[in-house]
Amino acid sequence: MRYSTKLLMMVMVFSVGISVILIDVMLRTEQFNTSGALKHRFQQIVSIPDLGITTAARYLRHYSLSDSTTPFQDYPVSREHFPAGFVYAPPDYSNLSGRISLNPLSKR
Amino acid sequence: MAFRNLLERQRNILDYSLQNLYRRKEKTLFILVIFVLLISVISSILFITGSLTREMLSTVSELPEITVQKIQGGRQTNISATYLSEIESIPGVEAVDPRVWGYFYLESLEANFTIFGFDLDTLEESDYEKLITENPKFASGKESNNIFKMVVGPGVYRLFKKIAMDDTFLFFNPNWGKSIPIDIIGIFKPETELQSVDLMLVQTEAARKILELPTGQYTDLAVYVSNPEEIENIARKIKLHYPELRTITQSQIQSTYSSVFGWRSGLVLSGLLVVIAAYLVLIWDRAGGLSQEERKEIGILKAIGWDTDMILSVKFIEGLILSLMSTILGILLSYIHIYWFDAVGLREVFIGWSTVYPSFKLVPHIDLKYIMLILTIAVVPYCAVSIVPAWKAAITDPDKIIRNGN
Repeated sequence: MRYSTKLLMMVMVFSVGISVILIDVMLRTEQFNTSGALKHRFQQIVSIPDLGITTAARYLRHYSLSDSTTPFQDYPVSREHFPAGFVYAPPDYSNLSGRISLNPLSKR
Repeated sequence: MAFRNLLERQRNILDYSLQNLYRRKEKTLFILVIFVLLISVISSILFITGSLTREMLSTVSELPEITVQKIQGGRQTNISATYLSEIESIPGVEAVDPRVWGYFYLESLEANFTIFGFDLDTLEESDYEKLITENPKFASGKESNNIFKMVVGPGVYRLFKKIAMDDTFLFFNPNWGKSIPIDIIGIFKPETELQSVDLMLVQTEAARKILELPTGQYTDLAVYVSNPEEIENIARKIKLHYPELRTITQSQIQSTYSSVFGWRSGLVLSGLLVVIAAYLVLIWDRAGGLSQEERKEIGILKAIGWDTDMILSVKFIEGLILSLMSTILGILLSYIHIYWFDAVGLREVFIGWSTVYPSFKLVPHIDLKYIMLILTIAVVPYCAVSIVPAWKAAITDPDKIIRNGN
């Protein structure tokens, strides 16, 4: 058998794989949309935000409500104590009046 | 006829390229494995972060327009009921909902739970039907007048079942002297697991007792505003009148979610840096030049009459097949890893030290933009570095290459 024929067979196998994945994407998205109303109602009842993907610390569980100094207060020695903390970028603190600086006074 | 000849010529070149890859199968396999690993690492991170962001953003519109917290000494503290009527009187404010919520750390299980105070009697029958599975041990719990009742998340229920407290949970704190028993009247359905996993929806009066919240004090205030144009203005007014209060608007939470797994997040950054470094090493090795054997082969091909462009076509096809195949395989494998095997290995990074966590049954988020980005970054540079050394060898005198091998 020629190598190009073998390649064609491989391309067909890949196409089947991609099709299976695409069908899976459609089915899961459909399921997600069906449960959408349910999730919306849940959010109306429980009006606090954020997903419970990590519940180790309060500023990770409800991190969009946490203030900028919370991690320091929970564990002053380390900038980030809980391992899951490195996963998230800092929340939007645009409502704070100014930057928080931790430099010694003499250096300002 | 001419077209057929052209097609046959291209097919022969393709055959030759594939034969080349097969002849050096150890090397081909090695590059393929490294390439697949790199692509699957980066696409796994993109898939999981994309799905979580999609989940987060899906219900953000239902959140209160403004959340008001009281800040004292840099920390959030309880907010007094006196603010309630004052904020309510601001024109444009539809309603102010004082919330009682907080956390309960259970030392024996090393688990952190979220307690949210809610008047369970106000839940409609349809809410019970849609959202909650009745606890078989308290089939008529929702009708009871008992204030000590709650609905728990699936994660909480699983833990309580382990310690045989799946009917009534005894909240205990040494300061209280006695425990507070709360009946578990229902469990949130698995569809809401990502949000409700650690949640205890407790009758407000009981929640107040568990959280030791004095009368007239609340955790924070949820401010509802009917006109979206007025949200920022009202938030500004609240801050202006009460500098001790902090406001978090719905759009601010939305922008937090949009950038939660952005470049500034450690996970994305570390994943990217590792992949880029490994990819550069791979490219560097390819760009470093051809082996003596490969150069000799090009010399022989030239000597027997092959054109430079034919040799370049062979090398280009070799690079294209290898990189395209690795990219597709890498993306398929990472999809299977994230969505079929619930991101095993990667989910532990998100879970961290949590004891209560949801199963990672996520909604797929395949962003075509990212797929194109991965394809472009993986395929184009690899093909380019496959061609350049071959071109260098192909323009050298064949006699010199065959004799000297360089």
